[in-house]
Amino acid sequence: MTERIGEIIETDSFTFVAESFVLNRPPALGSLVKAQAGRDMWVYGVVAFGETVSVDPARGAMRRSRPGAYDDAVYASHPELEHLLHTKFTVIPVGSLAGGRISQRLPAQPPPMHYSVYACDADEVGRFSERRLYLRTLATAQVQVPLEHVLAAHLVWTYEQRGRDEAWLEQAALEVAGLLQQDVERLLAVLYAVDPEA
Amino acid sequence: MPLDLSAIHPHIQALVDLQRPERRQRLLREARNLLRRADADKVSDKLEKRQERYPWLVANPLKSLGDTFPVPPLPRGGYSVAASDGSNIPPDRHSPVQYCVLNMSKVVLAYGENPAASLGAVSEMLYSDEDLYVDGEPLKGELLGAKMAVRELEVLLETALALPAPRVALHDGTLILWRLQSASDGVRNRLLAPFRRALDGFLAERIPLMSYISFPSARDLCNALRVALCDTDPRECKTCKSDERELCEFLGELRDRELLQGVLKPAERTDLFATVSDVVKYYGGHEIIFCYMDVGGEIARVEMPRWVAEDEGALNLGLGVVLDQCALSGDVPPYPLALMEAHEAAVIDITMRAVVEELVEGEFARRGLPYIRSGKDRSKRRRGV
Repeated sequence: MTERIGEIIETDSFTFVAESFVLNRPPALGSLVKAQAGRDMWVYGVVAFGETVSVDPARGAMRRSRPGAYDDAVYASHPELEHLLHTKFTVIPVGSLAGGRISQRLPAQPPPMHYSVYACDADEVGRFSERRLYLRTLATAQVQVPLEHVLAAHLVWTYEQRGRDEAWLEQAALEVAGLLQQDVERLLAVLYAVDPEA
Repeated sequence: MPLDLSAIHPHIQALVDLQRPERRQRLLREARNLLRRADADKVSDKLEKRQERYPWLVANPLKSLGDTFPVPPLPRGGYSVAASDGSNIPPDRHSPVQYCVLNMSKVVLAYGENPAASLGAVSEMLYSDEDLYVDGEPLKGELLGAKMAVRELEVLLETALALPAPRVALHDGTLILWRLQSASDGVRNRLLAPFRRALDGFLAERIPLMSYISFPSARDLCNALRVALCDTDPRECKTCKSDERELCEFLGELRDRELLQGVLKPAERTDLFATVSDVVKYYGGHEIIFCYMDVGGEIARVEMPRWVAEDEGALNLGLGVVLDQCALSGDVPPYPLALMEAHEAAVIDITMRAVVEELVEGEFARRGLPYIRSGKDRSKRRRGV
């Protein structure tokens, strides 16, 4: 089993939000994660957003640094911040795993509230990304984030996880080009971002 | 028509003049001079020899009246601080069932090599007659306030006991439960017995207990200066012919924090004073000592048991932690961070209050029992037209 990285605190059929176990360290933007959705049923999703905010919405964060005590020193002199702040990340479900079989369809049920979110290791990323139908699900998700940057981050992250698989990246970039052909600006944003020379 | 600022401006100046007139400045100078030169022994003698108590609370100086001291820096290597505060849902007369909820926070902040924090609370529900009445008196208002202060101190001790030294316990508000002064012996005994036990516990474990009062309205030190000035009896104030009468009357309206503004520099404290409050007689020998401190933008009052005041290491550690916690709050005027978090952890917000009532109401419904609030309460909630 891979590492537990968070617990679900908001969940619906098309997105779920988890609280990260490590403050200020949500999983990488565009990375593939999974959550248990039932007995022998897992949801795969792509991290589309990360943020660190005050646990109590009525108490905003305020400046804590002092001359000579900033960055890490702020946390050393304010141990309470670990309890007053939390890091959350939003995941767009793009597939599932049931009975050992990977599907690039959305699961019938959203993952349950308070269930765990796990990182995916390179082998699992390799198996899931073998087919790329899920890129369409990702590109058309209805979320309040610039999806072209999520797509670009996902392509680069997966390319690295697959051992710098150039052939995979090329195919994936072509598929994204097909998906975004109506919107040249967004397409260029993805293509520039994934260019290994960029 | 916009506001005519030119018509208002001269009045703003007059308004400010009214706040700091020449006379006040002159009398403040005289009061501060008196603070420097007044004879502390004479004040103590007068307080001790007097048969009946003064009609005001008077600071009884342990050494001097006007000496000030820098608070020494904390030893390197960090410290742990425990803090507690409280909030409650009082018994509701309009409810068909009487209960009271107490919530005492337990906050720990640890600094040094392994910084750590723990923010939590102890929640309790009181519903038996034995709990809702103290020696026949209903647990509400001032009695509930005193009960909270006692429980907060008990929880604070329990929290502080688990900490490694150097450790300090911070309490919010006064340690002088003056409201219990006029309570019946039975009420006082029942509430003060656990309070005394908690004070015993801090002493037994040598945990410096510091009670922090922000923006104090006390006049104890000003009143000590009045005692120093007075050559007659305070019962004769109305017929007093002394030349010092104007200054004495001014001191009677002045607050200690106003007297000390500018006398203390940041991170300085006054000398130590004993309270003459009668209720302390029932503290089982635990006298309460206090001083004032400039915490950087505010003169705060810090109260402590006598043993802390007499143990230089405990006193300096306690006051140093108070100052450091103020600096960590990042606010001006500051407030100790641990107490701020203790307040946040103790608060029972309006949503939680409603949840508790819904839980009680739901349990009544589950058992098929009627839950009918008073007609008056119902009319206030419904507000039909």
